[in-house]
Amino acid sequence: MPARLPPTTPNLYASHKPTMTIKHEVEALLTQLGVPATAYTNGNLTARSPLTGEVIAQLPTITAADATKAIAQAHAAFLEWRTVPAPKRGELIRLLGEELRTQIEPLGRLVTI
Amino acid sequence: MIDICTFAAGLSRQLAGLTVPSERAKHRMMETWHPLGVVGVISAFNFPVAVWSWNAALALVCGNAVVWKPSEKTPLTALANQAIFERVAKKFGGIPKGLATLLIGDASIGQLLVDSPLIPLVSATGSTAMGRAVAPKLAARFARAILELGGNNAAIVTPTADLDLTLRAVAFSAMGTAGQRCTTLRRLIVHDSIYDQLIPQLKKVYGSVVVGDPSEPTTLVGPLIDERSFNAMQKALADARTSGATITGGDRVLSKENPEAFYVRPALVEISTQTDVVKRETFAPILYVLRYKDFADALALHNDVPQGLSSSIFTMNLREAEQFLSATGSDCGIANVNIGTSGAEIGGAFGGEKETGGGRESGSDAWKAYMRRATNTINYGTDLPLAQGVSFDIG
Repeated sequence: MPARLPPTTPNLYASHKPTMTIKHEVEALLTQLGVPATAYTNGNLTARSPLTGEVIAQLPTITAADATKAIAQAHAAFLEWRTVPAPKRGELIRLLGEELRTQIEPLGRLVTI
Repeated sequence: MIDICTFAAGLSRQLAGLTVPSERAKHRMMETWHPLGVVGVISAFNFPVAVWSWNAALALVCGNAVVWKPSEKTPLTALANQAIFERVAKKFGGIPKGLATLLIGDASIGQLLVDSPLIPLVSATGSTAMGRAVAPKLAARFARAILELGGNNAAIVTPTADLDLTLRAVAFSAMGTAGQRCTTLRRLIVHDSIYDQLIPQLKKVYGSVVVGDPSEPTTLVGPLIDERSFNAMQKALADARTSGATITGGDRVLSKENPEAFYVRPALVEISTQTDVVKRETFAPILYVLRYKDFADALALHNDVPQGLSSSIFTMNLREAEQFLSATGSDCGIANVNIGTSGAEIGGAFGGEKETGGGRESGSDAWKAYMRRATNTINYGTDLPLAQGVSFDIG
């Protein structure tokens, strides 16, 4: 019974060999993806990379009052969006798929680290 | 994510209802599907953006707005996703403000979604404990829930199984993503006659997979998400050891290079009975291996856990395969033959039974949960016949 998985390798542990710190790579990826630095600096929610455990961002969080307002805003958006014909709504999602295809590398890398 | 967008774009032209024969003359009966409202999405760390896309792609083509509260452990990918969505909205020619909203915050923000009367549907992915907190609150206000909770997925390996294929499928399902998928293979129920052929091979694989930085192409097992997850894994292994289990692997590695990250060698745990530790979901790469002699016992073991997400059978025996998929077989939402438990396609409905929560997302007719069904009866005659032959003569 030949096992085809995994590839035999003398080194069983792949340690992270950084060309830059993960924090810097994350910042570069977020900039490339169009996220402003204000969205992930000077906030109270700490984000860590599971790769090294290092802190990679401090995100501002929303208050309960602002979240309640955002839900009301979403409801107002729904009242308008429900009148758009479904195939036209489908066009938005088709475009989203197209954009994701072009951003697959930076987004995939961001998910990985 | 791209696949669900393709699926949902096509679906937007197929949100069709049935026309039903009416028992009354000159009447037509039909059903129409309408947008539901604001859909709340609460997602887990393990698929930080994909879960949003499975929900949002369907919800948006169904005419709903989406408010998303991602896991506090993975907020950055959510920010990136939101930036991408906003660019797309501009390209589309503008959408109502707040149609897809991202809320970065802690559990209290999730709670807000659960309690808001403006949110008729909450789709929540995470632990069974989270589901237990969320579900009664939604039920109390008669809101809908799509719950994607814990799994304790098993595979039965029968005497006729293609063992080479089984080995590869088990390795990917049990160790891929470091055992942190809801569909990760957590239990292997192996027939006595092939146990000593399969398990030594599997042990060899467990001993030789590369653990480490997932950016390295040779790495098959990346890190656990955090220390809490590592502690839960060690606790489960200690409990198994107390029950007399034999454990291969499971130890922490690379701790010198990464003192604040948690890499582990995946654990293979041979255990003689399905004790409590086997029945609970530990979100880490632990595979419990059990032996069986009689197929009926294997099925009973298989279903004797509180969760019911994904399942597999490895067999070339048609009777066993068909029974596994039948009403008397696997009690899970996903039941496979000769492939592993993880890595579902977008085209099928995704979700499971029992403590997994009963929700369905993604393909097939899962879209119906995101819409409101109306039954319409139209009278195009001059008489007013009542259903069930009821007479109501006002003279």
